[in-house]
Amino acid sequence: MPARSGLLLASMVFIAAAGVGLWAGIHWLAPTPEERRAELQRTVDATVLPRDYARLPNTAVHTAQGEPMREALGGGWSVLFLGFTHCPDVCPLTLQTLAATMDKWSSEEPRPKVAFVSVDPRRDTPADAGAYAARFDPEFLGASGEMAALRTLADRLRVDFEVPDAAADEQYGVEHPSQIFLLDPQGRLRAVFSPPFGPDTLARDLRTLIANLEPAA
Amino acid sequence: MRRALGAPLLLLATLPALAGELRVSDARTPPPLPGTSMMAGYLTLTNKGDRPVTVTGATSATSADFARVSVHRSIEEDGQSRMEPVPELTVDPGEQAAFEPGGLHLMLFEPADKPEPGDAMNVTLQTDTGTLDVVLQVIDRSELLR
Repeated sequence: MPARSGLLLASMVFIAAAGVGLWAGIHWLAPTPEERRAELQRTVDATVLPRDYARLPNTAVHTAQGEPMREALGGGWSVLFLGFTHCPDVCPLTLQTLAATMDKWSSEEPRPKVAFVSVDPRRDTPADAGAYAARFDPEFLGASGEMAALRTLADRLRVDFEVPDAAADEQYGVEHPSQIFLLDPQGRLRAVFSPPFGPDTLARDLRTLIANLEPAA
Repeated sequence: MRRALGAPLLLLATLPALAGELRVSDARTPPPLPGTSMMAGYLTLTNKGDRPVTVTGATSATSADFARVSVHRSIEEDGQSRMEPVPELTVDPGEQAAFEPGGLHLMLFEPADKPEPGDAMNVTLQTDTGTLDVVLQVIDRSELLR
């Protein structure tokens, strides 16, 4: 009997040691989230953000359909651009590029939602932003809201915008972020694209990011 | 005598003033977007002459196709996009100035009609040596990305 229990004890110690070894192997040899991020960063022309992702605030930014933006975009990956409708050059260029990018998704593939947020609420209602965005692609969403809500959104995305103190009928320009933001299905900011944008590179990198970024990480 | 003088003067007035040897090509503009009353015009200026030519302004006074026209540049800096007026743009001999989406463009305020692809809109560039007529072809927006 003592010999048997000795053997049992030895086996248990061996199994425990193997378990610890296996755990340690997975723990130390498998890439950490940060290593995976760095790896992904090397393959795309975008800034892949580290953990502690900023989440879309639950502020009163609504789509043209009256839905809070966070809900309208939730449940799937989405792409966000902030601008204003009286923007004749950069905003149309970016939205046109996004439309050409989204054309590369087949009708069977789940494609990211695209939302245009106007940061010029003095001139743009959510409906204005929606009509503007839909001109580039009928699926594109438009949204806007009160200045304070838009400010909260921009702060969360760590960007800025500036609307001059002018009357709505003055032909003023708005300083707005130039980037395109990628949000995961939880509405968290995961990657930021900076101009110049091209549909081929954007489509390739969006696919890579969506396939490799863990939504729950 | 007065009559005899009148004819050549009238002829002179109707001739397009020479803007040095500045040539314009590929002048185009997409139609305005819903809810907006401004358009952006794109073109290429080439200086075929032997001295620099400076664009000092733009107008649509002759055609009245637009209420106002100006030369602007989109600037991307520190993650922010903004526009600024370009009061003077000098094109050196043998050089080109490309007005392209995301950079230099003509701001075309309040088109008189509702322009559609296939239409032509007329503006005039003012230079240090004269004026330069520009016929902007209204193109489909998708043709801008080429």
